[in-house]
Amino acid sequence: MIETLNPQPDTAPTSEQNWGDVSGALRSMADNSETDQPTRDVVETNSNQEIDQPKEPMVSPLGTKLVSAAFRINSLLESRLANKADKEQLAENRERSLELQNEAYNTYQPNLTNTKNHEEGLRMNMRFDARAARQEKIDEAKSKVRGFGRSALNKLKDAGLIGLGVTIAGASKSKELATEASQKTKDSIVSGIDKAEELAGKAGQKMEGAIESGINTVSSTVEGAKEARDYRREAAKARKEQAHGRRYERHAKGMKLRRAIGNFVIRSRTTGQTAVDTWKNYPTK
Amino acid sequence: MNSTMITLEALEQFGIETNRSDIDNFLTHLNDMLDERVGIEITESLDDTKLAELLKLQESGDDNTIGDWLQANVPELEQIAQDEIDILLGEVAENSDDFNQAG
Repeated sequence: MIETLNPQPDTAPTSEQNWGDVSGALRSMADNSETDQPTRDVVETNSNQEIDQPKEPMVSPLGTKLVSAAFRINSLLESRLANKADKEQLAENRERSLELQNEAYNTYQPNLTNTKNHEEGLRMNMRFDARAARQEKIDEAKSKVRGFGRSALNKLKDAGLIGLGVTIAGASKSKELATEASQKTKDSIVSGIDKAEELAGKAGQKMEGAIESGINTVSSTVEGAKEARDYRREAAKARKEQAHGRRYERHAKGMKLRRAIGNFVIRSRTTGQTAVDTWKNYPTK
Repeated sequence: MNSTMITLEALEQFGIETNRSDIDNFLTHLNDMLDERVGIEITESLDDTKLAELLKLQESGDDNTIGDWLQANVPELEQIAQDEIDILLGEVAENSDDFNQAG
């Protein structure tokens, strides 16, 4: 049952399939910048639409996966609650005296009739309530899924086991380059003006050349910083593609394992049935 | 409260303008998204028994204990987390020009 709620892609997701999540967020940020609405609302609404409004199936692959994970968690929580309620009911029944048990039995039939009369009205209300309650439970389960991720990331980050990668070093270098470029511009202009004033006349023309040359040097430094940024972007894209590949491999391995377990269970049942049949037939042979 | 893994510095490295008024919202959104993606991968990697165990542990509210449990019970947890970070940052890098233009 879980497998059907949690479909896996048959092929590795392409960049385009995953592109939508962040680009959508970027667009949403732009759209919401004036009204100052948090982007999460947009993502949440998309996820919710899948549950409540099948007419608008604009759900990202991530949204579908999150809902599937939430369904799993929700069903586990519900079965736990049901078990607890059963245990409490059993304990309560055991504590009842015989007299009370008889009384409960005698009033059972009239109560049942009254209950039936109310049932229809209640059912109407329940339909409305159930939908809201279901959504609330799903939201709660989604928040639990995020909690797993948060706990894992905090733990691994504190232990120094994960990071933003070597690209951060590049960012510092880029900042350094940009500062250097800005300083060089300032120096060239100030020194150009001072020297131009000092030399004046004929020398002034020479200084113009010097300033121009200084600006060219600055331009090449700025170009260098841009190149460094573009390189980092390219590197990040390459790392993303590699990570996608590993994620796909993990999913494929997980599916293979689940399939193997399924086959093993079927084989065990068949083998078990054969053993039972053999045993049953044994005296006649 | 999210894990605050993605920082302003990380956005700067891709040339994203970090002096915008909505940058905090964007950072929060990215970190929530990262928590969500890692959480989904964790949920998918666990069987029902382990998942029920984790849910029970989560109710205790001790983040450090949950972290220890995850490290012990989720295969390739470090790789999962690092991959999700790389994927998200890659998407940010790909879309950084759009973000700047949208401002």
